[in-house]
Amino acid sequence: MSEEQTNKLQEYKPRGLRKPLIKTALMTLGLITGLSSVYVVDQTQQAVVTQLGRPVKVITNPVTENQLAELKSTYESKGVVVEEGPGLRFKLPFFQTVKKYERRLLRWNGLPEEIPTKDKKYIWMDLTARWYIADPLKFLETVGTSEQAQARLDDTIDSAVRNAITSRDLLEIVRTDNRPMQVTEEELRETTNVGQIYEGRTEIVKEITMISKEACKQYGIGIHEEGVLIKGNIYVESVKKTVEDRMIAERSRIAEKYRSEGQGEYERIMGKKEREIKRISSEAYRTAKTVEGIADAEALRIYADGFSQDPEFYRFVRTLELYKNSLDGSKLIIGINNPLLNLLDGENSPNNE
Amino acid sequence: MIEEIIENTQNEKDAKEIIQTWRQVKKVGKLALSGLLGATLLWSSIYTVQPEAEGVVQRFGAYVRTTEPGFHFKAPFGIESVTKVPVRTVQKEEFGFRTLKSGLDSQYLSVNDLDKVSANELNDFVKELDLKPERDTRALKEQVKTLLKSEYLMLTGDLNIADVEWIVQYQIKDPVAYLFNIKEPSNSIRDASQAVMRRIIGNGSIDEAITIGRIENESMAKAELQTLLDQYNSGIHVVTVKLQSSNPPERVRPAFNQVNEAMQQKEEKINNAMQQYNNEVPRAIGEAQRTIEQANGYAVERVNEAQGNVDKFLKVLEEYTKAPEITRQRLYLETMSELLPKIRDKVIVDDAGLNSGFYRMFNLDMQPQGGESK
Repeated sequence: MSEEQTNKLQEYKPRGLRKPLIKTALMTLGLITGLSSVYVVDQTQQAVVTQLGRPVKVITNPVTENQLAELKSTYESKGVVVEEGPGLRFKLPFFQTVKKYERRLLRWNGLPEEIPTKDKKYIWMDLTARWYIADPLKFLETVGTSEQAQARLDDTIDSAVRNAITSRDLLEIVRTDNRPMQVTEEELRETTNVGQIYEGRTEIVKEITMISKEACKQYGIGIHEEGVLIKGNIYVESVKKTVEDRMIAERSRIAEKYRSEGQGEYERIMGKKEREIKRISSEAYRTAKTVEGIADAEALRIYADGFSQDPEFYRFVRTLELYKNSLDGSKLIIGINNPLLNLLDGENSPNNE
Repeated sequence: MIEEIIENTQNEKDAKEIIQTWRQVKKVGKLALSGLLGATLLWSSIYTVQPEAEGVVQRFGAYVRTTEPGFHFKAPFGIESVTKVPVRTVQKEEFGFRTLKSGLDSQYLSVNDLDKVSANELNDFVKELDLKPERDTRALKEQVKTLLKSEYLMLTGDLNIADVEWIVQYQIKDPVAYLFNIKEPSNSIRDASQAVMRRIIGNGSIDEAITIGRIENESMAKAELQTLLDQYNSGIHVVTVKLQSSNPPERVRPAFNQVNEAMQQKEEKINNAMQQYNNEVPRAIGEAQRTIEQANGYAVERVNEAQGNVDKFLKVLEEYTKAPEITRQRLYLETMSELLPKIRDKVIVDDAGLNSGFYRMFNLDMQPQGGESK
């Protein structure tokens, strides 16, 4: 191969193959520097920028109205910049690092706990809370991670709940106010007489919220005003059994009451029926007898009036009728001196007196 | 590599060919690369929003705009990203039970029907119900039971227990708020709904929970849940809260039914009595009227009879007074002639026989009123 050939070939060499190493290195370095000096804060995030471990900037995305102002007043005097808003942001490469935190409302879910009330009823309490990172910098310094935060919330809220429940009667946790309860049947009214409440569920939840909120402030954790929720409050199994037994007894008693009321009402109506029938028939009897009596009297009067016109003749006619009706088919024994036989002597007639 | 090949090629012609081939390869490569780049550019800068959804666009993480259903452009390569939120879909959360299969033959996961549920069906729910994965189906069912019980068992204001199962239907009314204000929104709905329902059931009697208060409870729960979700800025609109079932606990149910039965029995008993009353009293009234009418009949009959008898007597008397002697004898003899033939044996005795008294009762001379014969 001649010199000329080699030179010519040299011209054909691809450009990218010249000084390749330095170029690649520079590009990589540029890229890394570029990437290291920008960062993205999502709409759902807030961030803390530290410079060699010292916080220099807080980027917040406030959940509550006055959160930004509060953070500003706390940190700007200490030389920490507080800014608002998500998006693409710049920082010093390598020297500054970014830690991002959730800005949305987060869920804390407690484990169900068996707690005795003041009146010694055992119930399972299951609470949940809505919390948020109110102060990302403080959160970074005192808690660090979300998991850590859950543990802190467990401790704080659980103890607040336990204190609140053990110092109250069960009814205070169950009812909200003293609104009178409605019943399907008046007989059930007495079962709703379970007592008056003085605070009620809402107040107790408020108290738990307040206490937890205060306790969580030191961790940069905020708890939503309406964030504490009683998700579960049920009797423990043994109490449940007793309550069910009571419910059964209560209802059986009411059922029995209905049954005997039914029987009583039945008897009452039956009694009324019999009285009514007796009254009706006896009244009818009385009326009938009176009518009959009046008629009898009338008949007597008529007979008396009629027959008294000739009592002797009446007696005579009636006697004949009597004979006619009563003497037949039997033996007749007649004395010789009987008037019937008088004519046989030719002496007398029967009507001789 | 190419340089080496060229260096090693002794033949100029060969070298030229190699270089030319290399150029072609580069050309094709560039073309392919730019094509790929173009496709990626295009693909990452267009998106479609389905009819039931809205698109929420973020530029470098910051919210910039919301887009309606249809075909849209955005800045490519992850500069802008889009999240599609199904705002028009009505979503549902169930409490105290779960739907395994919906449709004509719906199947539910509930404590009472747990035996019918197969292991496979249950496994599908492990993630959704946040259960601890377990190979033993029985242990898994036990977990489901505990979970569902914690949802439906409630304390009522009169310190009784009610089993309450319900559903919440909701829609996303503000996709931006929904995405950016609250993490795990569906869990928030669940928690809030349970707390609200518990508060409401806890403030009323068992009767209100299971019968008379159901409709009020539903609307109250809906309103309260909406307030709560608004306070969280969740962007959720509660469409409806519906009580699926609301009963006394399983073990107590027969006792409750007993009350209903007893109430019906009472009604029945009273109806029965009233029926008898209505049956017998009018009959008695009828019978009474009959008695009275009979008496009236008797009265008329009695008076008429008397009048008739008297009239007859008076008529006879009238004739009698015209010729008393002869009439009297005629009447007597007529009677006797009528009477005597009917008598089989006729005995005539003298005074001595008569005086023995034995035959006194046969004495024809004796008067009906016991008068003395003369």
